[in-house]
Amino acid sequence: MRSGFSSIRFLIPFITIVILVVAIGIAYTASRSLSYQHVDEDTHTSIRNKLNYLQGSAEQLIGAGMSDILYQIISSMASEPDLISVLVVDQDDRVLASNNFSEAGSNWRRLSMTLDEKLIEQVKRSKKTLLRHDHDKNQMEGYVSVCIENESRSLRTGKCGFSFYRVDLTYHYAVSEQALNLQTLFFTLGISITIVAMLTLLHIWLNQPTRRIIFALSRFNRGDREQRIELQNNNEISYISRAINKVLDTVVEDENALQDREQRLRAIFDNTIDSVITIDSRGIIQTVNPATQSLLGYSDSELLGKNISIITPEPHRSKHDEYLEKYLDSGEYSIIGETRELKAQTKNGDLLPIALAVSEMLINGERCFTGIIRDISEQLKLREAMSKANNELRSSNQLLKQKSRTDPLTGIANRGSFDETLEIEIRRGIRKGESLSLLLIDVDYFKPYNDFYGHTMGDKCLQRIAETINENFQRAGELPARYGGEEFGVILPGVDAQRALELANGLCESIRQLDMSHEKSLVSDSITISVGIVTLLTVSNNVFSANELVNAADRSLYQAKESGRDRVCATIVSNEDLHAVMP
Amino acid sequence: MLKTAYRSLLCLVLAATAISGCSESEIQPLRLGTNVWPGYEPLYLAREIGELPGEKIKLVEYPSASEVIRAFRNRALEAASLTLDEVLMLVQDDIPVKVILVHDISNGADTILARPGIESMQDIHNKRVAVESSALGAFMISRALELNALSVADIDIRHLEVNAHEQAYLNNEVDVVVNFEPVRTRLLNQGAHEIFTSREIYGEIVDVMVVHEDIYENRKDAIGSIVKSWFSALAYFNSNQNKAASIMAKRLNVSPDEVIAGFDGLELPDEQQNSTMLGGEKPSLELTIARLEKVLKENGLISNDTPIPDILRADFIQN
Repeated sequence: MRSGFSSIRFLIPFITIVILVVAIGIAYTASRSLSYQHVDEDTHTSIRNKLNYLQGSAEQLIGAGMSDILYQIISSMASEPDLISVLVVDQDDRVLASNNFSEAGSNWRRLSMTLDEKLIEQVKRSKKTLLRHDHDKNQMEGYVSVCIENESRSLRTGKCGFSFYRVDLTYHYAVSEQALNLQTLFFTLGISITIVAMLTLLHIWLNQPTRRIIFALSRFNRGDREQRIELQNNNEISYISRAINKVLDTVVEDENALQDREQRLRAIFDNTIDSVITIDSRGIIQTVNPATQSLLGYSDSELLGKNISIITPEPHRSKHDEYLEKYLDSGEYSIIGETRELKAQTKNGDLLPIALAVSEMLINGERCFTGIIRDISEQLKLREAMSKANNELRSSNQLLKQKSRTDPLTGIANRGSFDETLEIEIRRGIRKGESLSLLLIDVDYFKPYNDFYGHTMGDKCLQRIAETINENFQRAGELPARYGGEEFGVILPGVDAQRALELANGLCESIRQLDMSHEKSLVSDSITISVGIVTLLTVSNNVFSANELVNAADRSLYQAKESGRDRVCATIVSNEDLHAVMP
Repeated sequence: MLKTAYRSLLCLVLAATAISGCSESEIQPLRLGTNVWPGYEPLYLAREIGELPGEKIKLVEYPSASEVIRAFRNRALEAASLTLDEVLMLVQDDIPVKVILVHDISNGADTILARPGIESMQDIHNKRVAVESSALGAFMISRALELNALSVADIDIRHLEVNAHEQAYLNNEVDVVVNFEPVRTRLLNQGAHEIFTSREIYGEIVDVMVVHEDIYENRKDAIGSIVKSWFSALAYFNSNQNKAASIMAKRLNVSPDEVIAGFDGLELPDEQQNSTMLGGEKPSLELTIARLEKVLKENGLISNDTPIPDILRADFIQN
């Protein structure tokens, strides 16, 4: 940061100087070529003027026979600083005047310097001024005709001489280059001073605010979160400073929020009773929380940096690295995302039953896994006790239920059970459209029997009768029950009137054959029974109370008793005849 | 020094922006050569009244038209004011030019003056006649002789530049002078009288401004301002005749009244007339050129058979 800053400070002047040098170089080269061009053009004009002057003077003077005066004219030209040679030659090729006096009178072709004969012929014919630029020698020369004519016609006769003027351009180039050098020097000086002044001003303007920014930022970095950049100006740097200040505010806010959140998370992490362990992708333990020590017995320093296999018992211990590799390669690791019950190896070698939940995270681009380990030994004990208690409860429940449904004296179903079953069977019969028969059985003259033989015999008698009834109705669905006192009932689902009558007569016969003596009976010398049957025909969906059916059976029983006992009376009802009840 | 530096910088900027053409010839003022002739005086009037931008145009005075032609031919001048016959002879000498302005049409200002006793052209036999070696003098005398059925052989020609005529006449070296204003007025004042004037060959002596062809192409700005100055001066002359005449009188060395009288022999075409003479489908000056060419040929003043190219340009005449 600091070195970059200072390099920019030196880079700007450096780049400026390079650009300046290049620009001045280009400008100098271009200006030089332009000023040479100007010299050429200036010299053109000057030579043309000289030739014009020489032609005018020479034609007049020669025409007037005063060619001597030409010498005066040419000597006045001789002092021109750029002059190399000036000649006036007459129509006979004789040099009339020259800046080199010794050449006077000789033929121009014999002069030591070379003239362009082609151009000379051309100017004599065309009346034009012709110029030639010798770039190698840096010389420029011009030719013009000198004609003494028949002036009334103003026509050239072709008998013309010429005038010649040659200058050295080097002199002019040197003069213009010197001027250019001076210009460039002053120009460069001027620009350099300007640039230095501007850079200095820029430096002064930038330096102090830059220092302030750096000072403030470094204090901020060293922990002074209250530090801000104090710049009140309205320029670019203060805009930047304000933006930086906003960033600093945000940083502080974010930091506080982060700290707060971290504290909360840390509290959860530290105070949870579960052990939380993170490992990296090679299985090396990265962090553990305080609960780990109390759970597994290892201190933090004993775990950090170790392979997780330290707490993994066989067979998983030797395979854990394999699991990891497999997961990292294929992504198949069924433990991620669900809780497993496993065993963990504690420091003292015990196997601790645990529940393990593993989740995967990316921290700074590296994969790592967090395992939450919960001690479930208490839970397991509790679970065991609970299942035992449950089993006990279930068997006693069963007993209880049995008891409540059985008549204690006879061991067959009691009245409650009878009523309950009857209700169910009626509904089923109606639903299925089947008939249902119900027997009500009364032991004939049982009260006198009881009085005569005693209660114990009475009970025995009842038990034997119950046994017989039970034996007679063993088919599925048939329910014999003690209805109360010396009355019994049998529910016969799906049994029609005819069959019910047969069964009832069969039962009467079975009782007779018990041949239990009954001295007090008025119809026989042994125990007999009277049976009332009611058969229900299902003709509609009409549902009625079980009592209705029982009452109908009771009426049949009464009829059997009235008509002499030890017999069966039957009646048939349809569910239409019975009082409907709400289902 | 500062100006040169500025110029170099300007050249650099122009070179950098790829606008070529920052040559010396555009910085040099355009040099316009004239001889002394009332028809050209509005140019000098323009300079006097500040209508002529000196940084663009430099007026160069020559004693005679011959010197103007020489300098123009040698390219010591970029522009010249000449008579149309002189222009035709330049063209015949293969000097490419363009005529961009008609200064005036001579209607009596060009003249042949004679001593008392020589009453008409017929009395000119064997008399000493001062003629300028340039084209116009030859043209005037040729036309005067031709119209009076005489020939050059009938007279004694003395080649003298126009500026020498007056002195030669006063020194009694010549009897007849072929000349024009302002010498005309001065010699009339000395007792000479006219035996031939341009009124008799009206339309043949036309004074025009010519420029070299390359100058015409490259110095439009300077040419434009010189033409503009010309018409400004004409307007000034027409509205402030007395003031203008007194300015011109000093240069012409005659009195203001004589200046105004001298202009009687001249027609100064305005912009409208200039544009019909130089421009349009058929510039009217083309007819004059054709007639002049014929006359010049008949009088042996041009020998070349090269046809006269299209030299008339009305671009600079605002209409």
